Amino acid sequence: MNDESQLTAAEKAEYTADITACNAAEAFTDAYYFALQKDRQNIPSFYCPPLANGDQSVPFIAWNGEVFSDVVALQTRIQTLPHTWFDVESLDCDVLNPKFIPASEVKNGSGNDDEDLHRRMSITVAVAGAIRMEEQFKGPLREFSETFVLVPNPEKLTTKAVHFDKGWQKEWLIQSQNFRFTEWSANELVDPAEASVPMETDKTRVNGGKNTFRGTNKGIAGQFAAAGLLKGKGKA
Amino acid sequence: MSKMPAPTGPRRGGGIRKHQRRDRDGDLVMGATPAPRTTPKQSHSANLTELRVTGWTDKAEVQRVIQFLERHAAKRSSNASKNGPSNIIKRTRVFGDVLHIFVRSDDVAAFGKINGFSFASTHGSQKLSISGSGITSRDGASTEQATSSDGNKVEHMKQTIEVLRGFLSRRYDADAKLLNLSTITSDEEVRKLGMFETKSTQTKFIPVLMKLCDEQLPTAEAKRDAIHSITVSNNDLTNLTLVSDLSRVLPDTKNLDLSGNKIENTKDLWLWKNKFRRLEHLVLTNNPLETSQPNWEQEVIAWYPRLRLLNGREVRTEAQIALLDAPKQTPRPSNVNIWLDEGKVGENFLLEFFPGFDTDRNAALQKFYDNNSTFSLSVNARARGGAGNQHEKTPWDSYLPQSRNLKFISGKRTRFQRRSRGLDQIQKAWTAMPPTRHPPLGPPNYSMDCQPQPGVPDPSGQYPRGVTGLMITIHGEYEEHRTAKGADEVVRRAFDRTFVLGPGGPAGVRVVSDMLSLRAAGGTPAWVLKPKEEAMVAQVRQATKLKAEMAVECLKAGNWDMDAAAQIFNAQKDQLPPEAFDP
Repeated sequence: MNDESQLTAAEKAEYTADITACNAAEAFTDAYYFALQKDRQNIPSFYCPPLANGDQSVPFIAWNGEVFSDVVALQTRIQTLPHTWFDVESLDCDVLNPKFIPASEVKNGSGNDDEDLHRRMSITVAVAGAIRMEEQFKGPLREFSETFVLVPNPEKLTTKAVHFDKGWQKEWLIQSQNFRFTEWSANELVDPAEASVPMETDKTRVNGGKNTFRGTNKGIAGQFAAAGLLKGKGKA
Repeated sequence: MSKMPAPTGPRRGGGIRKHQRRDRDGDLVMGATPAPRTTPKQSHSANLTELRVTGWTDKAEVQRVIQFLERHAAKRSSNASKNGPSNIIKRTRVFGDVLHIFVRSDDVAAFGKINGFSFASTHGSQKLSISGSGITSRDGASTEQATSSDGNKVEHMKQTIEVLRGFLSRRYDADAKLLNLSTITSDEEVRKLGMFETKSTQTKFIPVLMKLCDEQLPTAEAKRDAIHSITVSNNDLTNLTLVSDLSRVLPDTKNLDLSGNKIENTKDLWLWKNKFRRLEHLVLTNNPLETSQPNWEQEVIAWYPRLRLLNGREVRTEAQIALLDAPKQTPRPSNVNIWLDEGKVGENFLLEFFPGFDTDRNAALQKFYDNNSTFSLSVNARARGGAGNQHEKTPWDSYLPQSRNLKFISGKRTRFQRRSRGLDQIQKAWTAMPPTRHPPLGPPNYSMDCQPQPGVPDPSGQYPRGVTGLMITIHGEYEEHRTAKGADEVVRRAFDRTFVLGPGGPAGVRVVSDMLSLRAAGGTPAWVLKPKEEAMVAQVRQATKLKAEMAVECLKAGNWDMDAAAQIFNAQKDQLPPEAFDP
């Protein structure tokens, strides 16, 4: 695997497909999360159209426990969201079905069933990241996880190679999607009313009985405990 | 340092008086009781009044004219010294045959008194007339208006304004609330005036028209009520420079017709980009744009958020536009698991897989994976959201060397090598992972969704286009026995894992793709309702006999407000299927 020239034709095709999938995942997430933040009118153009025979099974959209029957319904939901800011922290992708589209449908392709996989494949994209809601700097910061399955856009199968120099040109379209909030922001975890109960009385006593502000002046021991260092965990 | 003499006043007379009274100009004030100055001295040119002096003929004599005016006005001014030289004319300027002089406003009266005085020019006696604000002419009329030399111009302007006013009233349709500016040149009166024909006057046409419009409809509300639509069709416009003022004066216009012009590119429309924020209907038919620029519609639609009809075609539904005004909602925790899993394929897989993964990874691998299965792992080491500082900060140890987080791993080969395909590679990857223990399946430990996934490869080859499998996304935490770097402890890790399942393999179900994303453990409140919310769900269920999921849905629709949820339930209860209720 150290030299591409040593690869067999099948390995080379697999390699090209995987690298193309990685590039696509990067270009796609950049464009998609930008649209969610700034260009919500444009959301439907990211999705594959429903099947011709009236089958509503694709695109399948699950968003935080809700299933949306069509793209417009999802867009409607997204448009009622307040300001959102997405930061992708983790991104991974995988070639799901390398032969999703028959070789004959690739224009300028070889027509060989084992070739042009990087144009024919469907891709799974797994994203995890932070999402800031409501306000740009002060709003609650949550974590989210989202998985997409992308399928080739039949209208963009004209070239043999795919580049993303000009950003995402919708070479692939979303076939299924699952979005979940995975962590709630710290300031949303406790109701202000419930938080008024002084939880930290013990800690203030540890601090030599001094009248300290809760949380802001914990002392070194408190800070170490909060960072998980007193339990023998974390970086020394 | 030389002693500067006072600029205008007479020289001091050698200590005759110790305390001489001087006014602020430095002039000695003569007389016992100087008139009290009522207005403060106005030295800035902004406070000067401009007067116009006409009636003289020879430019060479301007200095003499000024001296003449000064001399006579000073005698009549309360400010100037009656004896010494004065400079009550502060500045002068000559334009053509008009001499502009700038004087203090309290001196204007003095100039009014010398209006019409005869000046002894070398060309004979010349009657000087002074005009400006505060000066009355000899016959008593105010001279503030322009003098007769501008008469023609003024007359012409008045006439133009009259024509435009007539045009405006002819072209305004009060019933349709339409301002019709189509084919402006076809209007007889405007054509006679020739205003829309030369370039220099063309540019003024719409601004003047808008000025008149402003006069008649002074407030924004008045304009909004009176004018809903504007037509600027058939004017041979190549861009919007001539008509750009419309968007400034009538920003609330709802319907706009630009058809039959010569607009070739959306760039020519940029003057109105993001203007007319309430525009609902835009017509651009019969413009070269339609054929010369493909996809021009998309750009134009994006400029106007409320645009519903473009060239008569619906580009947004009413409901979509209504959303712009809808209140924004921050999503609440959702404990609803989407589980579209007929035959419990996904459920049985998970029930068996996680215990297998924890106890005997190789057996689980052999049972559910084959040589086309893929596995990859990505570490999200900088998860910043969530509970933040409450995260367990455990090092990532042996996970990092095989993390394929594309945000950090940019080398092509590394990316490719860190993906495991087939039993051997996956086994190697799993062996490198420390021992784990997943909690029992089901809420509240996990948030899980299972949904159909079409186009999964068919190992039998029977369906070349693929078959429909399942996509399972699962979020939760597991315990890890950490022994790296000499540690011996149990730590928690949070994970998001995506399985795509397809037919095949010894178990009848095989994993086509397995992607694992790891993050510091920070709790599960994203899918666990708070006690308060649980109580609300119980309350709704008791009142409505709805099933738990439906009660949650109902509360969600009402944004967790009991009254709103009750209204929604009452409005929709007749349409709900019987399955929505408890048996």
